[in-house]
Amino acid sequence: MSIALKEIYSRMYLIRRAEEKICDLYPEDDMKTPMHMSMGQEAAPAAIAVAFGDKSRVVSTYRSHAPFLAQTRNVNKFFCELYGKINGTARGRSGSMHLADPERGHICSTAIVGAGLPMALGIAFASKYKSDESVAITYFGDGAIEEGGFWEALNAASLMRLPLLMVCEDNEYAVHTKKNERRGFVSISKIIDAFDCLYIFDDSNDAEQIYRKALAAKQVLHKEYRPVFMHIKCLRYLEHVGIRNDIEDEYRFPSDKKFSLEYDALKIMKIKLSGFYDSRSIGALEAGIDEEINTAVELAKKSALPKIAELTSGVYFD
Amino acid sequence: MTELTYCEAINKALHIEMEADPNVFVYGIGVPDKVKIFGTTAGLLERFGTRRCFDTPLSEDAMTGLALGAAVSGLRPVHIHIRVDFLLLALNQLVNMISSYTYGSGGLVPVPLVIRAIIGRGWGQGYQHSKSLISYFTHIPGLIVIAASSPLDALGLLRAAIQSNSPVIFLEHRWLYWAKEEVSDEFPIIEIGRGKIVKVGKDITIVAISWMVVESIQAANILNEMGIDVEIIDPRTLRPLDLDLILNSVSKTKRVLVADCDWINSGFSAEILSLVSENIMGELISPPMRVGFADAPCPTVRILEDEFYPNAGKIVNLVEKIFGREITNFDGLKIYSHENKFKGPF
Repeated sequence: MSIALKEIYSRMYLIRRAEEKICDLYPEDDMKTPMHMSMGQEAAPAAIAVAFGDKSRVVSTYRSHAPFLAQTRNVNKFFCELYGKINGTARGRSGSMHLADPERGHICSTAIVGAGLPMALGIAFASKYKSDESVAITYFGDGAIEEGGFWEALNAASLMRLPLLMVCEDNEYAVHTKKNERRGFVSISKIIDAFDCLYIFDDSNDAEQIYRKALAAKQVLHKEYRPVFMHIKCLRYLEHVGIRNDIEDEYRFPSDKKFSLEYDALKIMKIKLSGFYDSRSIGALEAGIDEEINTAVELAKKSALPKIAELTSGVYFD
Repeated sequence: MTELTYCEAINKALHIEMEADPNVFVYGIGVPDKVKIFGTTAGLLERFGTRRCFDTPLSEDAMTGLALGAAVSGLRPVHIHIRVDFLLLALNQLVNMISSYTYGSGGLVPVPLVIRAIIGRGWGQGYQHSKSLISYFTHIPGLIVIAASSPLDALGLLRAAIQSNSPVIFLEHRWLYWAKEEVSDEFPIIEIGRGKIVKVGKDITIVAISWMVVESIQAANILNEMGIDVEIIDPRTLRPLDLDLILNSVSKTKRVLVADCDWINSGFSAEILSLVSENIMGELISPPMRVGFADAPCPTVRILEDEFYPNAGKIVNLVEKIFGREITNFDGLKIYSHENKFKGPF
């Protein structure tokens, strides 16, 4: 377990520090792409990525940084894409909202709420069709439950018994609209219970607990060919899009600030990790990641922009 | 040689490609039911089983996303809509997700999927079962759009579509389903992006889309008796368009008319005439013209439905206008090729 925890922490730390680096550098205005920051929501993507490993095939949302970095650890391509450089994930074409690294299992991220679910359904279908034991994992916010595509995908995955892990990152905000202004339903769990789909809940922000729940989900997905819905309560630290801190703004509940201070996902994991490793070894792990991030940013800054002639290339395959 | 109907040709192409590649699967609402998408999916369930030929929930959006997810995972889905109108429910997946995926991979990841959709004109289908939506799809970079008008083309182009590594919208006009043609026993593939000259002529070029190829042939026969020699071009693939074929023909005839199987306003006919005008405006000796649906939703009652659609008579009248001839009154005459085989109600 300690090795898994260390791996989870290392991915969470990578996400947090990479985003802090973005916060430092965004005002330079060289990264011209709308950033929907993951800060505060690192626990689930890191825990799930470690639980499923290279069998994961992930579709995430515009809040893509945590799922992308947790799954791929490809910090070089990440920063190169944010800077619009040719060695980015999509040669600078896609930016923050459409990060993809299919070879490392992050298939797509989409800027349309709920649009990743139908695609992930197809990835799960292919997994079952080919019996390759891969699992489609799709991230979405609680706002996606209001979209038609969510119901269609949930119904189809339940009916067709597909290995689809639906990870609902429930931060209770859709852009700036609170849940009570959006939800005509009273309970997410009751919605899921009405389908042939396993419901798993977590409000701990504790990556170890999420990791254990993900391992349980893995059994159901693989052995029963049954979809799983993981309902993860979490807190978005920064604004919907951009790098300002949202929790300080008045429309947030005071409890949000308290939660962010007392239940910070990184703090929780660091305390756990210190039960297994001394501070020097954790410090070395962190320093290594800091170095990785600095190297990636340097690489991104000095890398080349795409040639103008690339504009219309690759629209079609062949 | 084998004589195949358009419907049998579609069915043949599906059988051949499913036989050749175990990653090809066919699905959609009603695909394995007793209607078998008007017969085009007959025998697939029996031959390939429910794993590769299956019905779906009424979830166009999710089932279109399923095609994308399956395609980027190495499968080759063929998703079928018994009316093209239903595809409007899937435009988010089609336009936001599918069309841009390859581009967003730097051109490296193929998206091999086919969406077959039937244009369901006639017998009172009304305004939600009778659209063509051609320009909706041709507008989008990243999509291939095919509208075959003969059995040979349907067979060859559907085979090519299934083997293509880019997403294809394959539009089939319901009235073409009974068209017959001799097909060689190799059931040849036809290259995407190549149009064909349906009839050689010297006086005017008609670029005809889908069913309008049939109407144009009827019109050409009538015009021939009036001494006007029509050349008919069927682009077959609407995106990418075989522009050279069209330009060469118009350069020869100096006159052009587009017979579109869709609304005129902001339609595909405007695209063709713009391209002709941009490239060889100076060679034209009469204004470019077009014919298409009336500028209204499609009505149900036969007398209005007949008037809504363009036909051979309307094409003849337009050509007469171009040539400054007296306009023939075709009212009450059965000169146009109304397909009597389609008796409804499905």
